[in-house]
Amino acid sequence: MKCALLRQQFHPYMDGELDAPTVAKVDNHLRACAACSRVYRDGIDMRRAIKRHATYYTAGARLREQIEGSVRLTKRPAQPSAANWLLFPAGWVGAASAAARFVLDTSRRSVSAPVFACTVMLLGAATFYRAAPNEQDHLPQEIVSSHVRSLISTRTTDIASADEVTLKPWFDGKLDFSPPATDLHAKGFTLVGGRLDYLKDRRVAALVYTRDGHVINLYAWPVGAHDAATQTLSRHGYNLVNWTQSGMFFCAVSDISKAELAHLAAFIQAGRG
Amino acid sequence: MTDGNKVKRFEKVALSHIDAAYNLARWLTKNDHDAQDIAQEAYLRAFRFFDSFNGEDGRAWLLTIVRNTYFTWRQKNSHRAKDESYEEESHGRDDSNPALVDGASLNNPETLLVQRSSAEIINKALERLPLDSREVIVLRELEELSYKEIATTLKVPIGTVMSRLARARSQLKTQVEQINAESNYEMRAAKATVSPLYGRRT
Repeated sequence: MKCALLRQQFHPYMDGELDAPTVAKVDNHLRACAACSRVYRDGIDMRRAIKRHATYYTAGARLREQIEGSVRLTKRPAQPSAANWLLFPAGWVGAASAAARFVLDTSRRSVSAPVFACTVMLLGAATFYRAAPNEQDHLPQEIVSSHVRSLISTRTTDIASADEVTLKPWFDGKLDFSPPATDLHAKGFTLVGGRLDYLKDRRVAALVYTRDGHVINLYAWPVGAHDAATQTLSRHGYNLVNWTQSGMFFCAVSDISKAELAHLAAFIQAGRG
Repeated sequence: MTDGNKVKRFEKVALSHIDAAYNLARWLTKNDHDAQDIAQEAYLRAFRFFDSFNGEDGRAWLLTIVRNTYFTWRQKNSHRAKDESYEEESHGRDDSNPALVDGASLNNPETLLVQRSSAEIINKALERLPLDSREVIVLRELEELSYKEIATTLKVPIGTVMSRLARARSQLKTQVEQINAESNYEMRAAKATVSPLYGRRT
């Protein structure tokens, strides 16, 4: 085999992509030809250098969370909430097999049909209860979902301004209520702008803050309810803090700590009090 | 397929390749911020088109989507991707089959590399390669995909994978040599400007 022709096989040869007869031919030639064997060694060295030194970039924890979160949140509102959805398979396989065993045992002892019927009815009722969407869990899901969407989108705000004089009229033209737009830059929460969003079948205001590079969405809309104290919870690695004050429901969501979110809540409550 | 099942299957097929998706996006865009955007967008697309997944090779399938997402993104941001314009020229030579490496002309790259930070040189050289060479190196050497998997990902025949890889490796060698030459030149230049301070006698 001529050297030039053989050198074309070097790449598939070092990548392990040649069939056995061709490998044997290359082997034989490399043993016999010093020039080719030097070229081949150079090629191997180059590969080794790439493998050893080229950076394999790994995804950061935040990106990983966002991707995992957005996949889990891709579901329609009519479906059972994520919590039930996760419980469903494990819980019900167990329950169903227990029930089946019970039914088998009882029928073997030839105990009556009513017991069997009762079991079936109970199972049916329990399934119905389980499958009903859990309203309480639904809102936090919706809020986290909206928050993640805003992070994925290239535009977090519809209007970029930290100025109440600019933000207030902008919201006034689009909403039937007036959300508070307080810059808390001095307290470590920088107001970067506002956005309209859609939650609970209505338009809501989203005020966007940042803290050390983390984005916080503060959602607000009017409710006909009494004041309620601050509550915190977590969903999919995001923390949420909500409260009701002077006829307005607030919920702040971010990946910063619950304590930091509670500070933001306290500052806003103080500003409105 | 119910949505619950779909999410579960998708998690199994795709979520284990987040690093691969990000790594490819990072090498294509050469920066972290755009790479993150592309990886996220690719996953949203992948989920949307999951029904079209044939169940064979999850990683190659996902990487194809990352690549397509990148090309769409690049079209939208064409003003920012100027530096990639010269790759069309190398696309035209797809079927040429360059010899492996010009062994006679140069020293062993491994010896050249130990002189300075090897990772810095290799990364810089790889970044300088035209896009189609860069991606084939990333897929082969970093992702360790087979020729067949690379062919699936790039949607080209296996013969093209082979010739691109051969060309990419020889371009990389050239770049490494050039970077070494540049840094030697800089070092000499630095010495030349510094030495008068010490009263260089000529």
